[in-house]
Amino acid sequence: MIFDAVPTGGSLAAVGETTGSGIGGCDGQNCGAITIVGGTIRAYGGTSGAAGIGGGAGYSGSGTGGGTISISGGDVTAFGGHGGAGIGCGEGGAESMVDISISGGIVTAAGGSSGGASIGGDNYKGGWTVNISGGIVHAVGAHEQLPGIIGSPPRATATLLPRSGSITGSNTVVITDLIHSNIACEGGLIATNGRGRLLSDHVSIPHSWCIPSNVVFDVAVEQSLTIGAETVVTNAGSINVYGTLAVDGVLENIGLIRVYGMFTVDGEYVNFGQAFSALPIGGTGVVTGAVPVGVGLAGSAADPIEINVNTVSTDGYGFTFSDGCLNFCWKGHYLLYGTGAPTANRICVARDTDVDLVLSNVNVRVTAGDVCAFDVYPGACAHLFLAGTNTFLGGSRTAGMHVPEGAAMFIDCASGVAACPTNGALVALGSASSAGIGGHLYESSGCVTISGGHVTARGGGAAYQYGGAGIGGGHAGTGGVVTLYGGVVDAQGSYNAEAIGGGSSGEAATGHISGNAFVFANTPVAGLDFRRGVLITPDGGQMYGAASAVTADTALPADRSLIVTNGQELIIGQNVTFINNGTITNLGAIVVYGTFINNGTIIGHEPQQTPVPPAGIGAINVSADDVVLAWPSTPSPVSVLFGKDRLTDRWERLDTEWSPTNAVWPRGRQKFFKRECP
Amino acid sequence: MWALRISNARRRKQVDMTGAGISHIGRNGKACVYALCLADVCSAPSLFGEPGDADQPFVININALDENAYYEGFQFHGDHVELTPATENMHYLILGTGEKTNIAIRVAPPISYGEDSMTHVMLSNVYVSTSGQADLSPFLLENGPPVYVTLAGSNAFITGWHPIYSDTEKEYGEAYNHAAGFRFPLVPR
Repeated sequence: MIFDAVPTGGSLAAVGETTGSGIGGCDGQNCGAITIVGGTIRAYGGTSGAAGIGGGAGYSGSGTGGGTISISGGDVTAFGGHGGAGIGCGEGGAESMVDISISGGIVTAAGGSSGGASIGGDNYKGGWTVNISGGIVHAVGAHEQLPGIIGSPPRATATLLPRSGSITGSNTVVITDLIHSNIACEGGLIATNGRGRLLSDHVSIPHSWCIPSNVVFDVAVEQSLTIGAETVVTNAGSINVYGTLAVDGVLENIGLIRVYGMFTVDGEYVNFGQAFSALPIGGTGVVTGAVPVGVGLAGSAADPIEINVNTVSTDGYGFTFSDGCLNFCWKGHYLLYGTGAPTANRICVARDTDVDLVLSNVNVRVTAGDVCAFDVYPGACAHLFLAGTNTFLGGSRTAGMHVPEGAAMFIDCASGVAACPTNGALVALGSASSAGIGGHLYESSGCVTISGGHVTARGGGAAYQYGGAGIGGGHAGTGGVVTLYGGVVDAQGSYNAEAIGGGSSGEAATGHISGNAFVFANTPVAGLDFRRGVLITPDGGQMYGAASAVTADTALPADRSLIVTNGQELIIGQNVTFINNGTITNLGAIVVYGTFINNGTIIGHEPQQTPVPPAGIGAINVSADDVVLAWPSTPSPVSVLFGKDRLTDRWERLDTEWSPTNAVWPRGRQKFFKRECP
Repeated sequence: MWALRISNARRRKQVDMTGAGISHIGRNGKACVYALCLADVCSAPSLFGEPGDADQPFVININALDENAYYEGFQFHGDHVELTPATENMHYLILGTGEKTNIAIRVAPPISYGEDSMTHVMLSNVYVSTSGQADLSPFLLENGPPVYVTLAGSNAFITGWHPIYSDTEKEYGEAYNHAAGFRFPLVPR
């Protein structure tokens, strides 16, 4: 059976009752070959398990295969009944088989309400091959609680029949929740669970289409997305373009488009939503609507968007303010400053947003339950640069700074190593059973990286046994990924929680301590890899690696101790004041560029006051694999190395291994380097 | 017990056949070709084709069938109309008014046909519901060559009540219909 339509279009609604498919087989019947090349077709499988297009339901035990289904055009919507597929096998007692190929058109398919595949097998034994090489395919669930599935649902039992397929082509768009692992995803634009990416370097949207509001997809560097000349696309979702966005047809934006790479309009671009373009829009087409162009998105590192957190009351450039929350949904650079006085104005970093936030004397304290002072949504990334003293305390059951699974937070001081010792502190206080930085009650943590500043993180506790980690999970939450390679970190878990790692009853964190991290913890730290730095716990203090530096003012408490072993060097940074109130056993060397005050006990060698070595990089040698950075003349036991990509204006601290005379960094994207002495 | 009556949410749009451009359909079932030009269904006029060719399809109006009439290329059996192509590659045009009918369409295999043969059926504003008629598909392809269905206007083929298709309803006591809306089982050619 072949379906087509006259040039001006035609439609068909085919509806099966109970066990009959919309188009295909009746009760217990396989169906023959179905080809759709045009027309608007809606097919509804009967409620007892028939496929929308394909096999009938097979309670009689006979086959319910979908036959061979080919779609190369048209607008096709298919709903399966109960456990039947939207397009494919009906639900049945006997093994059945369907071959599905989609090479064009717009296809929307939903499996039956008890979990048939959207496109593919039923929820039992059906075998299938699914090959998608073109068109726009939405494979959705029958209702909000059911996922869209291409292939067969996880509950489907193993079968001797084939289950295989592929998604290919540069004119292919697939949106669903689950794609069976036997289907090779090799090309096109594929979005699963609302998150998409291009698997081909160049993708052209093949038909007029509306990008759904719950879909976010990225166009990576070196990739391009094209809206074809005869195509009208409405974007209600979010598109992040790091490569090229070319509009030859019509693009109407009512969602969010962020273009960090090239944006060319030779057709028409109409913006009713939110949009940024890092560069001016090129091309000869028509552009209407508000499109900020020619700026480094929202502010730049040198000229950030400034926001007074204590007094903000309305939306501003690059952010919104509603219900007491500053929402950052555009990539950019922002300076958040306060008076130091408490405010209930919260900070939220929206999903899939990457922001640089300089925090200067911000003091957020929230009293309402389950309301968080600083919230980084899954998929988002917050780079914090500390200036002054900043404090975050959320309402009950919330982390001081919420970094859930899938989210990331990077903490550094605002102006490099030299400004850190006296300028750059963060205090994150978790409320009941939640982490200082990381998960709420019952939540695991995402990724937390600390490079500089003085960070104090306190987990909250309740009822003696339900505690949050200082950095990591809330009660019953795992510790996520914690990387510490600079600054002074003081982490305390509450009740049975770890200082760094899991909340009470939670699993430990992964990650490492390296570089110049100087860490205080009130519990042992499990799960992390100790490469360099200093860790001080109630059981004693230990230094890792050959050399490490203290880069922020700190003091060793009276009830704590530290051992510097033979061959190790502990550097006290040039602007740092280190006060020893406890006991230091120095069998190696303590090199003091700054100030060392001893109010406690020193066993072994005395600290050595030493001139500060020159900063900067003396020579760069590029090999096939590495970049070797040599220091000027005076050997320095510890350096702090920064790098930045060519297209960014943000220096990032590089976590690399170095010797007293040089550092080695793997070649990759072009980077600029600078070095500071602690 | 499913003593439900699903209300008919909306009636299908009526189609004005006069406006569609068919001046008349001959008693032999052929449309007069010079007038065969619906807004959506327009064939190039031809004076040379044979009945059943692309430019002289067999034509019926499914909403105006007469049991006493003879329709070339069709057989009308009261509850269904059967397309009976004498040879391969016959062309049919089934018109409707958009009004619902319970007369099903069945495509019989040609008496003889080859590997590449096909029966062509154009549907224009046909609305068939076989709700309550046990196991009767509104459109059935029996064994034989494939059918090339060309859609014009708005068409619907419904076996019975469906929860998410609003134009269906079911009366208490009505038989279940386990057939497919558009049925073409896997059978040998």
